Amino acid sequence: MLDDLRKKLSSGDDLIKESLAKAKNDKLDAFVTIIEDAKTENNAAILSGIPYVSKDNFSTKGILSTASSASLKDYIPFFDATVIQKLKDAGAVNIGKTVMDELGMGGSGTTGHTGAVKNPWDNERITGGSSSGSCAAVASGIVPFALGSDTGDSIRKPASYCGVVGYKPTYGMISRYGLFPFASSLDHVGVITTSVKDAAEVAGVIKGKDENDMTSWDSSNINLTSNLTGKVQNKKLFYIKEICENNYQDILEETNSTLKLFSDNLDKIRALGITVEEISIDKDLLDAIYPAYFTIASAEATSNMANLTGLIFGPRGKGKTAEEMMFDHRTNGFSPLIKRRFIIGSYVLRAENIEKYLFNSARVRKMITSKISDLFKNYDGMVLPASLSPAPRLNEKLPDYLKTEQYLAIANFGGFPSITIPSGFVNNMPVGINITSDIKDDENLLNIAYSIEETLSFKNQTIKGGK
Amino acid sequence: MTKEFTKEKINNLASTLLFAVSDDEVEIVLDELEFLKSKMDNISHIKNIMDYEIQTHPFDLYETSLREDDSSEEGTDVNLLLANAKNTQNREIEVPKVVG
Amino acid sequence: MALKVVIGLEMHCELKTISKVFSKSKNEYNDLPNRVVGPVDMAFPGTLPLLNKEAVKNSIKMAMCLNCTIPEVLIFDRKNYFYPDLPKGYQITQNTSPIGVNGKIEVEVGDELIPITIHDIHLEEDTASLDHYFDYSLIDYNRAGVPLLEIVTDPCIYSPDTAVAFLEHLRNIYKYTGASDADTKKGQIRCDVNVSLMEEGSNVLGTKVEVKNVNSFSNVHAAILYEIDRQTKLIESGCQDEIIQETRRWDDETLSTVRMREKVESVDYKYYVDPNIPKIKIDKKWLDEIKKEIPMLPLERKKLYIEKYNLPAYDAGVIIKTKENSDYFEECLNLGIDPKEAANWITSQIMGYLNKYNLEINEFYLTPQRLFKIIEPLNKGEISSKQAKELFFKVLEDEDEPEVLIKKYGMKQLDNDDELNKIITTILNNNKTQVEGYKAGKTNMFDYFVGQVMKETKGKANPVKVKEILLKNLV
Repeated sequence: MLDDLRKKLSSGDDLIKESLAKAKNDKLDAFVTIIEDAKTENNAAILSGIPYVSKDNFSTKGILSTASSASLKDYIPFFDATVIQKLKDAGAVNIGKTVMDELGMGGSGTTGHTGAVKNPWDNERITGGSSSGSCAAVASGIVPFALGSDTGDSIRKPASYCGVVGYKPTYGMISRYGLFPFASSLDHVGVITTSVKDAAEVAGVIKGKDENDMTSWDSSNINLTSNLTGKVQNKKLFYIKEICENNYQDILEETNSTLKLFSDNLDKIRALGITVEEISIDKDLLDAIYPAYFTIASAEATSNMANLTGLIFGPRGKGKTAEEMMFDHRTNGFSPLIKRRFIIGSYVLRAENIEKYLFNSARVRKMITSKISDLFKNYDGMVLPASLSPAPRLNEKLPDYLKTEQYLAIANFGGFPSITIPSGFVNNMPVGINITSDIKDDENLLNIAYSIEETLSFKNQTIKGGK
Repeated sequence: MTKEFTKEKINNLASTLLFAVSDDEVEIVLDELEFLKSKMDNISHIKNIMDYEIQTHPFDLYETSLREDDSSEEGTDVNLLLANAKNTQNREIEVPKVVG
Repeated sequence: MALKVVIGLEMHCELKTISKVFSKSKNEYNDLPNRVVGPVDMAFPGTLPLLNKEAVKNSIKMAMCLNCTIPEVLIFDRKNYFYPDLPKGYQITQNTSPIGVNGKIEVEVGDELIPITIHDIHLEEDTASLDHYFDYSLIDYNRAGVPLLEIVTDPCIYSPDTAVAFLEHLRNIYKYTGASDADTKKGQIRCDVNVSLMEEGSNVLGTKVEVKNVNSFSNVHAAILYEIDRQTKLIESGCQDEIIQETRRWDDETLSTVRMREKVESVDYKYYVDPNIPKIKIDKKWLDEIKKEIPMLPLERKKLYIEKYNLPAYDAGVIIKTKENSDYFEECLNLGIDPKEAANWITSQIMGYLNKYNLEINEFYLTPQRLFKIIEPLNKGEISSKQAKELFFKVLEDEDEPEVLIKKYGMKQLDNDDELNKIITTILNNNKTQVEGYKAGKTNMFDYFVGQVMKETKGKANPVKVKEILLKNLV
């Protein structure tokens, strides 16, 4: 898509104006802020004149940054996140800040303080989250790419529900400086695009060691775009049997179809010369992913968001003492869901609970990470359905297996690079396929995804939103 | 039998986190904690779990170097630092008198 | 029943670095509020900690000086609590694996060496400071993120004197290693003191009372004495139950400790490892380098001065009191001054002068080089010892070089034989009665003649020569 847009640019089109016009016309409620005066500042760089949107949890200088939370509803940062700065330097133009699940916590796209984001393919369905508005904006063709963040699957699952590409590189390849944290040990910055090549290109621009993020590392020897050769002969992938079998309790028809489609797609992948093998993993361990993720993420979140007190930024609470003011700010600033997460996060950190809850969760994390790392010694990647169903309907009562669907968090546990690409339709709704590789093996991952994208042929797919 | 999770405990946790929760929300948290507890009970029974170390980071980053202390940055303009604060006085953030 | 006091200390000291411990802002006291503050220090969303290598190094130095075990991997934890001076809502500190554990040192108290065991040493960040006014407080983030090292002893101290000797010793080590200026006047040191009483011979510790944020060593001493007195009276009057586990503070005005809060149940700080700071392996080579940078510490120096340079213990003790004094002394030796002579000058003239004018030795005009220029002509007999002392004060008064002043004030020893002969002959002629007395056996008259010569020459005469010539003339 980016290559096509460059052609349009050279023939004199103003892509920024076009995108702004589409954004203003958005019927999906994808935007917290539309940056009306956005314009191209740098004409001579790799992404010059290309519009994009960023999730509202990136710090943007002089532009409202709320993370879709009432606690930050009036916060205007005075500095740019590293990735925002890098995109500016590369000539890309931020035209809007997108709605997300409040503070990144949630997977529905319905909990932001400005309301639910609608799925562009069916407005009665959710986008998933937490990078909801970012996925909706790319899927509905407003912008060619968006910045998102991914803590458990927050880019890769909504990408599946919206029929776009969602990629989070290896942990630390992209700086988190200026990303409002949810769970720091799981948070990744990533991109949402309509093609693997675009994802590689944008990630290539924003990656790099950042002296403002101790967990970032030097990836100058990794070139994300140059390895997109399509040569995948003799590559080896595995999928996890227990996730891909259709023996879930209260299984939905849409899940059956999603799994059937996945299995059909595996055949197409094999036809590329890639070996795909089935691996079995202890069901107890797989079942432990959700509670372990939930525990770790909630624990980190409760402390990461302890800076939200309304003293330095955000609305000042009412009260006679500083403590009452903080109390009032936090009581009114967070939705009930967020408070529940904080309470649970705080509970699992208490001295009498930490061993059973947080430490055992962290041990589960280690078991999963070791298991998958070991498999990556023999395989180039793990392939799984990006979700077990297409996007659920708003307020749909979900069976337990969908409520606790969290296996994409394996990539967050181990910091593994992971990408979702569109892989077909179930009930006229898009679904995706997810591929995950070993840490720092992003070039290989993207090349495999690139080849699969080629054969599945949903590249550059968008749908005009607001039917 | 004493219940492990009580409304009082939940309200105590909320108050240490500096917010109030409604009774309905407390009920939901109680259910969520019961659910989590049952899951964590299962996890305690995973074979060899205690053989694994506590993973606090995605992976070890031993090669990361510490920040050299060879220079410092000028302070940020105080107007920027205080631009989002609602109660300020001169160069500082104002709060009601803090005692204790 | 005999009661014994048991004391545990927590000493917080600001480390000397260019930038703060987790941000690039200046680590520097500033009168202007919010002058040395950046986004990290105020916890704006999305900011991340950037661990300062020098702060870690200074901490390791202290851990080494206190003979602690240093962990293989650097780990930081979050201590979660809300307070208006804590912008993140948590403090980054070390709980899982402090930079030093199980340390042990000996402290000199009078003539005794008393062992003190260190529970742990951990590196953390300071909080913002609150400026209190009549009905509001203002928050100044200048101090937020200043590196603090907390040294925690076991409850192993049994007297207020030992407690203060220990703190002074630590302050000295900070200064010797350069890890901190350790200036109590600037509020760089704050202590928490845990005091409990137990029955002599028992092994059950009494209820522990914590006195927080004591900001000078004399107040530490006073607070301990006050607590001993308060708790003893309660026990002796049968009100033992009134000693409760609580936090108190030292009140400067009433010279007493005052209750801050009762520890109903201890606060749960919900510690956990900070994910934003990677676990970093502490390189063995780096440790070796750090070790080499640690200078010889006060007690070692004292031993050396006594054993190698034959200094009296008292003099050695005075010299090692500060690193600056000790460095001054060692610089004198490097210049070739005799150790005993250097020690005499330092402990008498120099200390006297510094004390009189309340000066520090490192701001003292009379550097070891200048001292050498006074001692050298003295030892060559070019000036008399009386002149040397005069010269010492002249150098300080005029702030000029000794060799210039020797000329300026004509400080030359008179040792010309002819001249001395003339003077002595005249004196002996004028004191015939005394000469006869001497010859008749009143040998103590000799000193009288020497005194007369000195008087006549205003102390410039070379006393050795004077004695020689007198002896010849009195035969």
